[in-house]
Amino acid sequence: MTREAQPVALWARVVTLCLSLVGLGLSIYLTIEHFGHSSLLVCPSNSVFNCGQVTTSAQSYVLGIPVAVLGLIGYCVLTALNTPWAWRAKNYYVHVARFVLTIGSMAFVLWLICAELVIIGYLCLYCTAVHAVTFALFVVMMRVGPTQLGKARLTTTE
Amino acid sequence: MSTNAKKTTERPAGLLTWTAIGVVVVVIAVLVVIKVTKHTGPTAGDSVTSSAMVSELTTIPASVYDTVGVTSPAAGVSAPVVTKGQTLLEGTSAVTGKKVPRVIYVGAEYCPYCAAERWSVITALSRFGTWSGLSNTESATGDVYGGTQTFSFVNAKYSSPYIAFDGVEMYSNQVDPATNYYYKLQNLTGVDKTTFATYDTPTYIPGMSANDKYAFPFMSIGNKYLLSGAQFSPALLHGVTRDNIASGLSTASSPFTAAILSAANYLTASICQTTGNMPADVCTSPAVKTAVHKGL
Repeated sequence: MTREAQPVALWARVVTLCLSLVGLGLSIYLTIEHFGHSSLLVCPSNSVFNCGQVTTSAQSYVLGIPVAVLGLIGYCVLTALNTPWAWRAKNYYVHVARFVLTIGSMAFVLWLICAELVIIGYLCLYCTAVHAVTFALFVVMMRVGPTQLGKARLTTTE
Repeated sequence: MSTNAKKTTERPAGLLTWTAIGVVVVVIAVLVVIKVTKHTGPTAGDSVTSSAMVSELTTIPASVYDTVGVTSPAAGVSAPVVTKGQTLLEGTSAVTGKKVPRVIYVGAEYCPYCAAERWSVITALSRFGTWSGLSNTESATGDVYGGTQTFSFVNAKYSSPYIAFDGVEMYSNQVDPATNYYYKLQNLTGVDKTTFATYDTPTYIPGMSANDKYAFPFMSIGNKYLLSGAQFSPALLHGVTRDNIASGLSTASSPFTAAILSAANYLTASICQTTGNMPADVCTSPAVKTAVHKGL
Protein backbone atom coordinates (compact mmCIF):
# COMPACT_ATOMS: atom_id res chain seq x y z
CA MET A 1 0.00 0.00 0.00
CA THR A 2 1.38 3.44 -0.87
CA ARG A 3 0.18 6.88 -0.01
CA GLU A 4 0.09 9.59 -2.62
CA ALA A 5 -0.45 13.27 -2.01
CA GLN A 6 -2.88 15.04 -4.27
CA PRO A 7 -1.54 17.81 -6.49
CA VAL A 8 -1.82 21.34 -5.15
CA ALA A 9 -2.83 24.41 -7.13
CA LEU A 10 -0.03 26.54 -8.57
CA TRP A 11 -1.16 29.65 -6.69
CA ALA A 12 -0.70 27.90 -3.34
CA ARG A 13 2.79 26.70 -4.21
CA VAL A 14 3.85 30.16 -5.36
CA VAL A 15 2.31 31.95 -2.37
CA THR A 16 3.82 29.59 0.22
CA LEU A 17 7.28 29.90 -1.33
CA CYS A 18 7.05 33.71 -1.40
CA LEU A 19 5.79 33.83 2.19
CA SER A 20 8.55 31.49 3.32
CA LEU A 21 11.19 33.67 1.70
CA VAL A 22 9.76 36.79 3.38
CA GLY A 23 9.68 34.96 6.71
CA LEU A 24 13.23 33.75 6.18
CA GLY A 25 14.44 37.28 5.46
CA LEU A 26 12.76 38.67 8.57
CA SER A 27 14.13 35.82 10.68
CA ILE A 28 17.65 36.47 9.42
CA TYR A 29 17.32 40.13 10.37
CA LEU A 30 15.94 39.33 13.83
CA THR A 31 18.75 36.84 14.44
CA ILE A 32 21.40 39.36 13.42
CA GLU A 33 19.72 41.96 15.61
CA HIS A 34 19.56 39.51 18.52
CA PHE A 35 23.30 38.99 18.44
CA GLY A 36 23.84 42.71 18.34
CA HIS A 37 25.42 43.35 14.98
CA SER A 38 22.76 45.40 13.28
CA SER A 39 21.73 48.99 13.15
CA LEU A 40 20.26 48.67 9.68
CA LEU A 41 16.60 49.12 10.52
CA VAL A 42 14.81 51.23 13.04
CA CYS A 43 12.00 49.97 15.21
CA PRO A 44 9.44 52.52 16.37
CA SER A 45 9.00 53.01 20.10
CA ASN A 46 5.55 53.94 21.33
CA SER A 47 2.82 52.59 23.56
CA VAL A 48 2.30 49.60 21.27
CA PHE A 49 5.70 48.78 19.74
CA ASN A 50 9.03 48.51 21.52
CA CYS A 51 11.49 46.08 19.94
CA GLY A 52 14.08 46.54 22.67
CA GLN A 53 11.71 45.53 25.45
CA VAL A 54 10.64 42.43 23.52
CA THR A 55 13.98 41.23 22.18
CA THR A 56 15.72 41.62 25.53
CA SER A 57 12.91 40.08 27.58
CA ALA A 58 13.06 36.78 29.42
CA GLN A 59 10.57 35.45 26.87
CA SER A 60 13.07 35.99 24.05
CA TYR A 61 14.60 32.63 25.01
CA VAL A 62 13.00 29.19 25.02
CA LEU A 63 14.98 26.49 26.81
CA GLY A 64 18.02 28.71 26.58
CA ILE A 65 17.72 29.12 22.82
CA PRO A 66 16.98 32.57 21.40
CA VAL A 67 13.53 32.69 19.82
CA ALA A 68 15.11 34.49 16.87
CA VAL A 69 17.31 31.47 16.20
CA LEU A 70 14.35 29.11 16.49
CA GLY A 71 12.49 31.26 13.97
CA LEU A 72 15.44 31.20 11.60
CA ILE A 73 15.71 27.42 11.81
CA GLY A 74 11.96 27.05 11.32
CA TYR A 75 11.90 29.26 8.26
CA CYS A 76 14.96 27.57 6.73
CA VAL A 77 13.08 24.27 6.91
CA LEU A 78 9.79 25.79 5.74
CA THR A 79 11.48 27.46 2.80
CA ALA A 80 13.05 24.15 1.80
CA LEU A 81 9.69 22.41 2.12
CA ASN A 82 7.99 25.04 -0.02
CA THR A 83 10.40 24.92 -2.95
CA PRO A 84 9.02 23.56 -6.24
CA TRP A 85 11.13 20.41 -5.78
CA ALA A 86 9.63 19.72 -2.36
CA TRP A 87 6.10 20.32 -3.66
CA ARG A 88 6.77 17.75 -6.39
CA ALA A 89 8.22 15.22 -3.94
CA LYS A 90 6.86 11.70 -4.27
CA ASN A 91 7.40 11.05 -0.58
CA TYR A 92 4.06 11.58 1.14
CA TYR A 93 5.71 12.49 4.42
CA VAL A 94 7.45 15.53 2.96
CA HIS A 95 4.00 17.00 2.58
CA VAL A 96 2.97 15.85 6.04
CA ALA A 97 6.08 17.54 7.45
CA ARG A 98 5.22 20.82 5.71
CA PHE A 99 1.67 20.71 7.05
CA VAL A 100 2.69 19.80 10.61
CA LEU A 101 5.52 22.36 10.75
CA THR A 102 3.17 25.10 9.60
CA ILE A 103 0.65 24.23 12.32
CA GLY A 104 3.43 23.98 14.91
CA SER A 105 4.79 27.35 13.84
CA MET A 106 1.35 28.90 14.18
CA ALA A 107 0.97 27.46 17.69
CA PHE A 108 4.38 28.84 18.67
CA VAL A 109 3.45 32.23 17.24
CA LEU A 110 0.31 32.25 19.39
CA TRP A 111 2.50 31.74 22.46
CA LEU A 112 4.80 34.57 21.37
CA ILE A 113 1.85 36.91 20.79
CA CYS A 114 0.58 35.98 24.25
CA ALA A 115 4.02 36.75 25.74
CA GLU A 116 4.19 40.11 23.96
CA LEU A 117 0.65 41.26 24.74
CA VAL A 118 0.11 39.82 28.21
CA ILE A 119 3.55 39.46 29.80
CA ILE A 120 5.86 42.01 28.19
CA GLY A 121 3.24 44.59 27.27
CA TYR A 122 4.80 45.57 23.96
CA LEU A 123 4.89 44.28 20.40
CA CYS A 124 8.03 43.99 18.32
CA LEU A 125 7.39 45.28 14.81
CA TYR A 126 9.55 42.77 12.94
CA CYS A 127 8.40 39.91 15.16
CA THR A 128 4.82 40.88 14.34
CA ALA A 129 5.67 40.83 10.65
CA VAL A 130 6.96 37.26 11.05
CA HIS A 131 3.78 36.37 12.93
CA ALA A 132 1.65 37.79 10.11
CA VAL A 133 3.62 35.83 7.53
CA THR A 134 3.22 32.66 9.59
CA PHE A 135 -0.52 33.22 9.88
CA ALA A 136 -0.77 33.71 6.12
CA LEU A 137 1.16 30.48 5.58
CA PHE A 138 -1.15 28.77 8.04
CA VAL A 139 -4.24 29.97 6.18
CA VAL A 140 -2.90 28.75 2.84
CA MET A 141 -1.79 25.43 4.25
CA MET A 142 -5.08 24.88 6.03
CA ARG A 143 -6.79 25.61 2.74
CA VAL A 144 -4.81 23.16 0.63
CA GLY A 145 -3.18 20.82 3.16
CA PRO A 146 -6.18 18.75 4.24
CA THR A 147 -7.21 18.30 0.63
CA GLN A 148 -3.69 17.33 -0.32
CA LEU A 149 -3.22 14.93 2.59
CA GLY A 150 -6.69 14.01 3.82
CA LYS A 151 -8.00 13.22 0.35
CA ALA A 152 -4.85 11.35 -0.51
CA ARG A 153 -5.60 8.18 -2.29
CA LEU A 154 -4.94 5.02 -0.34
CA THR A 155 -4.00 2.85 -3.21
CA THR A 156 -3.82 -0.89 -2.80
CA THR A 157 -2.36 -2.82 -5.66
CA GLU A 158 -2.76 -6.55 -5.75
CA MET B 1 -6.90 -13.94 -9.83
CA SER B 2 -4.77 -10.81 -10.10
CA THR B 3 -6.54 -7.47 -9.96
CA ASN B 4 -5.55 -3.82 -10.06
CA ALA B 5 -8.38 -2.73 -7.87
CA LYS B 6 -7.91 0.60 -6.15
CA LYS B 7 -9.70 1.84 -3.08
CA THR B 8 -9.91 5.55 -2.68
CA THR B 9 -11.19 7.24 0.46
CA GLU B 10 -11.86 10.96 0.69
CA ARG B 11 -12.57 13.28 3.59
CA PRO B 12 -14.01 16.76 3.34
CA ALA B 13 -11.52 19.50 4.20
CA GLY B 14 -13.59 22.68 4.30
CA LEU B 15 -14.90 22.45 7.85
CA LEU B 16 -11.49 21.58 9.30
CA THR B 17 -9.85 24.41 7.42
CA TRP B 18 -12.18 27.12 8.54
CA THR B 19 -12.43 25.79 12.09
CA ALA B 20 -8.64 25.89 12.50
CA ILE B 21 -8.36 29.39 11.07
CA GLY B 22 -11.28 30.51 13.22
CA VAL B 23 -9.67 29.15 16.38
CA VAL B 24 -6.45 31.03 15.66
CA VAL B 25 -8.32 34.26 14.97
CA VAL B 26 -10.35 33.90 18.16
CA VAL B 27 -7.22 33.24 20.26
CA ILE B 28 -5.50 36.32 18.85
CA ALA B 29 -8.64 38.40 19.44
CA VAL B 30 -8.83 37.21 23.06
CA LEU B 31 -5.18 38.13 23.62
CA VAL B 32 -5.75 41.59 22.19
CA VAL B 33 -8.78 42.07 24.45
CA ILE B 34 -6.71 40.97 27.47
CA LYS B 35 -4.01 43.45 26.50
CA VAL B 36 -6.47 46.31 26.06
CA THR B 37 -8.36 45.66 29.28
CA LYS B 38 -5.40 44.52 31.39
CA HIS B 39 -4.75 46.50 34.55
CA THR B 40 -1.27 47.88 34.10
CA GLY B 41 -1.10 49.94 37.26
CA PRO B 42 1.35 49.48 40.09
CA THR B 43 1.27 46.78 42.72
CA ALA B 44 -1.44 46.69 45.35
CA GLY B 45 -1.33 49.61 47.75
CA ASP B 46 0.68 51.80 45.41
CA SER B 47 -0.49 54.63 43.23
CA VAL B 48 0.63 55.95 39.90
CA THR B 49 3.05 58.84 40.23
CA SER B 50 1.31 62.00 39.14
CA SER B 51 2.48 63.71 35.99
CA ALA B 52 3.20 66.82 38.07
CA MET B 53 5.59 64.90 40.29
CA VAL B 54 7.23 63.16 37.34
CA SER B 55 7.76 66.63 35.91
CA GLU B 56 9.39 67.80 39.16
CA LEU B 57 11.76 64.83 38.99
CA THR B 58 12.62 65.05 35.31
CA THR B 59 12.73 68.75 34.47
CA ILE B 60 15.26 69.95 36.99
CA PRO B 61 17.22 72.83 35.43
CA ALA B 62 20.80 72.04 34.43
CA SER B 63 21.92 74.97 36.53
CA VAL B 64 20.69 73.21 39.68
CA TYR B 65 22.72 70.10 38.88
CA ASP B 66 25.75 72.31 38.28
CA THR B 67 25.25 74.32 41.47
CA VAL B 68 25.02 71.14 43.54
CA GLY B 69 27.96 69.46 41.84
CA VAL B 70 29.05 66.47 43.88
CA THR B 71 28.86 68.14 47.27
CA SER B 72 26.22 67.26 49.82
CA PRO B 73 26.68 68.92 53.22
CA ALA B 74 23.90 66.94 54.90
CA ALA B 75 24.94 63.45 53.83
CA GLY B 76 28.05 61.96 52.31
CA VAL B 77 27.65 60.80 48.73
CA SER B 78 29.69 58.03 47.15
CA ALA B 79 30.59 57.47 43.52
CA PRO B 80 30.06 54.26 41.56
CA VAL B 81 32.91 51.76 41.49
CA VAL B 82 34.98 51.74 38.32
CA THR B 83 35.63 48.27 36.91
CA LYS B 84 38.72 47.41 34.92
CA GLY B 85 38.82 45.55 31.65
CA GLN B 86 35.15 44.61 31.51
CA THR B 87 33.39 44.41 28.16
CA LEU B 88 30.72 47.06 27.72
CA LEU B 89 27.29 45.60 28.46
CA GLU B 90 24.93 46.63 25.69
CA GLY B 91 21.19 46.66 25.23
CA THR B 92 18.83 47.94 22.58
CA SER B 93 17.68 51.54 22.58
CA ALA B 94 13.91 51.74 22.94
CA VAL B 95 14.01 54.80 20.67
CA THR B 96 16.38 53.93 17.85
CA GLY B 97 16.54 50.14 18.09
CA LYS B 98 20.33 50.40 17.99
CA LYS B 99 22.83 48.87 20.40
CA VAL B 100 23.62 51.20 23.30
CA PRO B 101 25.16 50.88 26.77
CA ARG B 102 22.83 49.06 29.14
CA VAL B 103 22.07 50.19 32.67
CA ILE B 104 20.67 47.63 35.09
CA TYR B 105 19.07 48.34 38.45
CA VAL B 106 18.20 45.54 40.88
CA GLY B 107 16.39 46.34 44.10
CA ALA B 108 13.31 45.76 46.18
CA GLU B 109 10.44 47.92 47.34
CA TYR B 110 11.00 47.04 51.00
CA CYS B 111 14.63 48.21 50.89
CA PRO B 112 15.22 51.71 52.36
CA TYR B 113 18.57 52.08 50.58
CA CYS B 114 16.81 51.40 47.29
CA ALA B 115 14.23 54.01 48.28
CA ALA B 116 16.94 56.66 48.55
CA GLU B 117 18.84 55.57 45.46
CA ARG B 118 15.81 55.60 43.14
CA TRP B 119 15.49 59.37 43.51
CA SER B 120 18.97 59.76 42.01
CA VAL B 121 18.47 57.06 39.39
CA ILE B 122 15.29 58.68 38.10
CA THR B 123 16.73 62.18 37.99
CA ALA B 124 20.01 61.08 36.41
CA LEU B 125 18.40 58.95 33.73
CA SER B 126 15.89 61.69 32.93
CA ARG B 127 18.83 63.59 31.41
CA PHE B 128 19.25 60.82 28.83
CA GLY B 129 15.66 59.82 28.12
CA THR B 130 12.03 59.66 29.18
CA TRP B 131 10.25 57.89 32.03
CA SER B 132 6.72 56.56 32.12
CA GLY B 133 4.82 54.18 34.39
CA LEU B 134 6.53 55.20 37.63
CA SER B 135 4.53 54.47 40.75
CA ASN B 136 4.71 55.70 44.32
CA THR B 137 5.86 53.37 47.03
CA GLU B 138 7.80 53.41 50.29
CA SER B 139 10.26 51.14 52.03
CA ALA B 140 8.88 48.55 54.45
CA THR B 141 7.62 50.09 57.65
CA GLY B 142 9.10 47.23 59.67
CA ASP B 143 12.62 47.82 58.35
CA VAL B 144 15.26 50.39 59.29
CA TYR B 145 14.33 53.89 58.01
CA GLY B 146 10.85 52.41 57.54
CA GLY B 147 8.42 54.15 55.23
CA THR B 148 11.03 56.12 53.28
CA GLN B 149 9.08 57.67 50.42
CA THR B 150 10.16 56.70 46.93
CA PHE B 151 9.06 55.25 43.58
CA SER B 152 8.86 51.76 42.12
CA PHE B 153 10.26 50.55 38.82
CA VAL B 154 7.85 47.59 38.64
CA ASN B 155 5.76 49.09 35.86
CA ALA B 156 8.20 51.79 34.79
CA LYS B 157 9.28 52.11 31.20
CA TYR B 158 12.26 54.09 30.03
CA SER B 159 13.10 55.26 26.53
CA SER B 160 16.40 56.78 25.49
CA PRO B 161 18.42 57.01 22.29
CA TYR B 162 21.63 56.83 24.34
CA ILE B 163 21.13 53.99 26.83
CA ALA B 164 18.89 51.04 27.60
CA PHE B 165 17.59 50.64 31.13
CA ASP B 166 16.07 47.72 32.98
CA GLY B 167 14.87 48.09 36.55
CA VAL B 168 13.96 44.98 38.51
CA GLU B 169 12.15 45.13 41.86
CA MET B 170 12.54 41.65 43.27
CA TYR B 171 10.31 42.01 46.33
CA SER B 172 7.40 44.14 47.48
CA ASN B 173 7.24 46.03 50.77
CA GLN B 174 4.57 43.71 52.15
CA VAL B 175 5.35 40.54 54.09
CA ASP B 176 3.85 37.30 52.85
CA PRO B 177 2.53 35.45 55.94
CA ALA B 178 3.11 32.14 54.20
CA THR B 179 6.86 32.70 53.93
CA ASN B 180 7.35 35.40 56.56
CA TYR B 181 9.30 37.30 53.91
CA TYR B 182 8.36 39.96 51.41
CA TYR B 183 6.16 39.02 48.47
CA LYS B 184 8.12 38.26 45.33
CA LEU B 185 7.52 40.84 42.61
CA GLN B 186 9.87 40.31 39.69
CA ASN B 187 12.48 37.72 38.76
CA LEU B 188 15.97 38.32 37.49
CA THR B 189 16.48 36.59 34.19
CA GLY B 190 19.03 36.26 31.43
CA VAL B 191 21.82 38.83 31.32
CA ASP B 192 20.43 40.70 34.35
CA LYS B 193 20.70 37.58 36.48
CA THR B 194 24.23 36.84 35.32
CA THR B 195 25.34 40.43 35.82
CA PHE B 196 23.90 40.59 39.33
CA ALA B 197 25.43 37.25 40.33
CA THR B 198 28.81 38.21 38.91
CA TYR B 199 29.28 41.83 39.87
CA ASP B 200 27.39 42.34 43.14
CA THR B 201 30.16 40.45 44.91
CA PRO B 202 33.36 41.24 46.85
CA THR B 203 35.33 40.43 43.70
CA TYR B 204 34.14 43.63 42.08
CA ILE B 205 32.89 45.77 44.98
CA PRO B 206 35.84 46.94 47.12
CA GLY B 207 35.25 46.65 50.83
CA MET B 208 32.23 44.39 50.49
CA SER B 209 32.20 41.48 52.92
CA ALA B 210 31.21 38.03 51.76
CA ASN B 211 28.02 38.29 53.81
CA ASP B 212 26.99 41.42 51.95
CA LYS B 213 27.18 40.05 48.43
CA TYR B 214 24.02 40.38 46.33
CA ALA B 215 23.09 43.52 48.27
CA PHE B 216 20.29 45.85 47.17
CA PRO B 217 20.30 48.20 45.42
CA PHE B 218 22.69 47.06 42.74
CA MET B 219 23.42 48.95 39.55
CA SER B 220 25.59 48.15 36.57
CA ILE B 221 26.31 50.92 34.12
CA GLY B 222 27.40 48.92 31.12
CA ASN B 223 29.47 46.76 33.50
CA LYS B 224 31.98 49.63 33.45
CA TYR B 225 30.64 51.19 36.65
CA LEU B 226 28.98 49.38 39.54
CA LEU B 227 26.96 50.38 42.56
CA SER B 228 26.11 48.17 45.52
CA GLY B 229 24.12 49.95 48.17
CA ALA B 230 22.82 53.49 48.17
CA GLN B 231 25.07 56.43 47.34
CA PHE B 232 23.77 58.29 50.39
CA SER B 233 22.03 57.28 53.58
CA PRO B 234 18.24 56.99 53.52
CA ALA B 235 18.33 58.59 56.96
CA LEU B 236 18.28 61.92 55.15
CA LEU B 237 14.92 61.23 53.50
CA HIS B 238 13.39 59.23 56.33
CA GLY B 239 10.20 60.84 57.59
CA VAL B 240 10.03 63.40 54.78
CA THR B 241 7.06 63.30 52.45
CA ARG B 242 7.50 62.58 48.79
CA ASP B 243 5.92 65.93 47.93
CA ASN B 244 8.38 67.84 50.09
CA ILE B 245 11.38 66.10 48.58
CA ALA B 246 10.15 66.46 45.00
CA SER B 247 9.06 70.08 45.30
CA GLY B 248 12.53 71.08 46.47
CA LEU B 249 14.43 69.40 43.66
CA SER B 250 14.85 72.63 41.74
CA THR B 251 16.29 74.36 44.80
CA ALA B 252 20.00 73.63 45.11
CA SER B 253 20.12 74.67 48.74
CA SER B 254 17.72 71.94 49.85
CA PRO B 255 19.66 69.24 51.75
CA PHE B 256 17.57 66.55 50.05
CA THR B 257 18.30 68.03 46.66
CA ALA B 258 22.02 68.27 47.33
CA ALA B 259 22.26 64.58 48.22
CA ILE B 260 19.97 63.34 45.46
CA LEU B 261 21.55 65.42 42.72
CA SER B 262 25.14 64.85 43.86
CA ALA B 263 24.51 61.15 43.53
CA ALA B 264 22.72 61.77 40.23
CA ASN B 265 25.71 63.72 38.92
CA TYR B 266 27.99 60.77 39.68
CA LEU B 267 25.58 58.43 37.88
CA THR B 268 25.32 60.85 34.98
CA ALA B 269 29.10 61.09 34.68
CA SER B 270 29.40 57.30 34.73
CA ILE B 271 26.81 56.94 32.01
CA CYS B 272 28.49 59.65 29.94
CA GLN B 273 31.72 57.64 30.05
CA THR B 274 29.90 54.76 28.35
CA THR B 275 27.97 56.81 25.78
CA GLY B 276 30.97 58.61 24.37
CA ASN B 277 29.91 61.79 26.18
CA MET B 278 26.51 61.91 24.58
CA PRO B 279 24.38 63.95 24.86
CA ALA B 280 27.04 66.62 24.78
CA ASP B 281 25.11 69.28 26.69
CA VAL B 282 24.72 66.95 29.66
CA CYS B 283 28.10 65.25 29.49
CA THR B 284 30.11 68.45 29.21
CA SER B 285 28.28 70.21 32.03
CA PRO B 286 30.46 71.46 34.90
CA ALA B 287 28.97 69.07 37.45
CA VAL B 288 29.61 66.05 35.25
CA LYS B 289 33.17 67.19 34.59
CA THR B 290 33.67 67.57 38.33
CA ALA B 291 32.40 64.05 38.94
CA VAL B 292 34.78 62.72 36.30
CA HIS B 293 37.68 64.55 37.90
CA LYS B 294 36.77 62.93 41.22
CA GLY B 295 37.92 59.61 39.81
CA LEU B 296 35.31 58.23 37.42
